[in-house]
Amino acid sequence: MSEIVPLHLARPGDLLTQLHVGPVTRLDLALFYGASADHNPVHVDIDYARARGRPDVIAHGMLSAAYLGRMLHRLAPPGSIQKFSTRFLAVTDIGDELLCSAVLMQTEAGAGLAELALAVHKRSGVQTCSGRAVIRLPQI
Amino acid sequence: MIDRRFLGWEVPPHIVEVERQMVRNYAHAIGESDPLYFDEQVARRAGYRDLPLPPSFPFTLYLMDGKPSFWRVEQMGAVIGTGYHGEVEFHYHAVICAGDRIECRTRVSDISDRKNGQLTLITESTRFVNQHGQHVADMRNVFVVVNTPSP
Repeated sequence: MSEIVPLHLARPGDLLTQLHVGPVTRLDLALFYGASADHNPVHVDIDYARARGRPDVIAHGMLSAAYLGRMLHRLAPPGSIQKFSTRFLAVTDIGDELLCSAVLMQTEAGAGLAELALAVHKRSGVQTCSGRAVIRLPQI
Repeated sequence: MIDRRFLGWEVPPHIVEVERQMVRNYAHAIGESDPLYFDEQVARRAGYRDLPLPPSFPFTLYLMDGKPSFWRVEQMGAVIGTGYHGEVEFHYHAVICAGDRIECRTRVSDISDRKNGQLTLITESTRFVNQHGQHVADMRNVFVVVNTPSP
């Protein structure tokens, strides 16, 4: 596992932070279903999921995006994130343990910005999300 | 199949009154524990007007129009259960806090096929404007419609 390097010392390719989440539970999906207004029954209704050929309910893509946002919050408080994007690559199942990570891509010292590559991986190694963020560098 | 006439469709805008408990419930649901998202005194001491929104929250503002979550793409011909969320991108211009009144204005900005028509990507662009007329955020959201079962 790579070592975490503080943002102000980091060079391109360095790991800035990680966030472990899970195992993802049905309760997590029920709480997010209510709180996020993302009302697709495939996230909470096993009968609905089975009728569509799935063995079980699956996690919201946006729950993983929210975990990436939680991780970003550690590097950049609200107001200092300029851009944040997530692509959904694979389904997250009940019981999955997720590892979110942020790697420095480049800094634009003049503009005071850093561009980060984001990812979510399952413990099995399968990548479920990729992403990008642009954050303002803290004034030190 | 997705009806191409929806390209450029301006969805009727809706307004969300952001309440503190919405922010707290969302923060709780994603396992966030920073008091910044729960205690308005902490938020004010940190320089915010009130509880700020977690970064992924604008997607929830976009959904909070009082209608079924996927009515837009269903109206365009998608069948929920045969599609999935492809991508989401946020651009933030100013902080949104509890107490704000946010107008969400969504437009279908692209409809395009992938993999020889097996997939259709619907891209929506949403503009968020607060009660002062300030343009606070933009979102680009991609929903993937599966037209034929994958081999």
